[in-house]
Amino acid sequence: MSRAGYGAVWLAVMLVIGAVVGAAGVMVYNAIVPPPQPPSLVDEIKSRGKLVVGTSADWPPFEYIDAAGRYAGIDMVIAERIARELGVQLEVKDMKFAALIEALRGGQIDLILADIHPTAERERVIDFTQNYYHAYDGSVVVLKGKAQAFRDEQSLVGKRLGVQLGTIQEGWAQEKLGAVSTIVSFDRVFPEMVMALERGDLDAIIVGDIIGEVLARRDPDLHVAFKIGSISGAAVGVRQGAEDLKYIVNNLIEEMIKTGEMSRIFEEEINKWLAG
Amino acid sequence: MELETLLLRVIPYILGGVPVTLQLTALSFTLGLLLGSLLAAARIFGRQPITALVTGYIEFFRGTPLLVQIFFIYFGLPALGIRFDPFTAAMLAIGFNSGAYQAEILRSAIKGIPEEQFLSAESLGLTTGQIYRHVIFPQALRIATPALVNELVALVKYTSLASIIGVAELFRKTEYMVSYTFRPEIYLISAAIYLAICVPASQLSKKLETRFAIPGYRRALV
Repeated sequence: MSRAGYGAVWLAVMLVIGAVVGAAGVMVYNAIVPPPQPPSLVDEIKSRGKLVVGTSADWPPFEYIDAAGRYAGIDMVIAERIARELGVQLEVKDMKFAALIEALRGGQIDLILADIHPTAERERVIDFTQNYYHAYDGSVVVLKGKAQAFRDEQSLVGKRLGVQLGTIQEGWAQEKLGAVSTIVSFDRVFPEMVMALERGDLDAIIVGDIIGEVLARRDPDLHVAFKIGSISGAAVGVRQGAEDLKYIVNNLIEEMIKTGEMSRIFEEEINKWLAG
Repeated sequence: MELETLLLRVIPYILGGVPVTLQLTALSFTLGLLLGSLLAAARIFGRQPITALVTGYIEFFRGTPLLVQIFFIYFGLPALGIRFDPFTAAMLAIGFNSGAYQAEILRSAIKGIPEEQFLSAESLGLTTGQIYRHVIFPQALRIATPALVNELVALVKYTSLASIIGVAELFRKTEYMVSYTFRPEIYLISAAIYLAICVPASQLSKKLETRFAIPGYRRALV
């Protein structure tokens, strides 16, 4: 056999041996060392004195980096609240959204708070608490005086519509009405887009569901005409098997919803973000 | 977006990621250089099982995506009880990856020295060790310099992949700003910053190339 041929065979043999030894090593390791499933994740969190929450800080108003360079937003306030409930410090670990589930499974983080919506696919690999909010894909906000004229998607045809750049509402408007209506994209909902609506430059604006509700509550001239898309909600992601932590977070969410604390947080944080 | 926000808030914030990007680049390049030298030496001087293992290592790291390697080190290794923080995990992944490429750069530089030089050196009575130390390595390093600088420039850009596991380097900081302001044009700013780092480095490469050119070897280097 030629030298090169010999080398190639050697390489192949070594790779196969390496793979087999590696796989065997993992199996033996798994057999000897029980999977890292502490008796109680809550005890572990308390003994280390901090709760590690994973998020993807590029999704305002749920989580973002504020003007002072700190983590801010609805999910961050809820995370703070959970840490307080456990009596520990909060540590936020930021990463891309796509990496969060792996990080939770790998134990790098204890919880995911990233406006993550439970889907069947995600539920196969991690657990979720109950939803902490429900919302449609967007609200259509108009001036109160013109509310009668806006009842459904059809009534938006041929109108001038304001949307925020890069949002699902912008995508929805472009897809459904791009050909028949005038769609204007804005950097910010407030003040530019709202002022254009109030001045009459726009007939309607389409914003996030809860954002629309907050706008209508704080400005009596505005009215939520109808909602678009379907309803869905976000929950807190928990590692499978971490029943104790899930139980505590579930109870806390229920209490926060009942006492109105949750809607207060949403309102405050959305207002903060609108003012940003 | 107002010019004021851009100048006072967005750009300074993104620039805050530059030290992280540079640190990550410098550390992983150094790791790659150490590893690459060892691997190249092992591949040239080593005996059979070692050369096969080294070849396997190099082919593995050159034949799989860097992103997968970063994910493996950050998310895969904890299953074996080995845990790194995001920065270290990214640094190791990029360093191991670069080591494979740098090994090949160094090996090809050594192989680029013509056979005649070995023969001439032997005829002067030098031992193999002396030949490599005094004749081959000094020249090989000079030949390898442009390619190594090129690798360094490539690493500057590869470090942006560390953003996925949450290293707040240049690119991740850009993403924060894009999502905060909803202005995708901000990506252009980060592109300009990468450019501002990489262009001087390529210029430096050209300077080094001329400076370290081996007299009489010009044609071979072109």
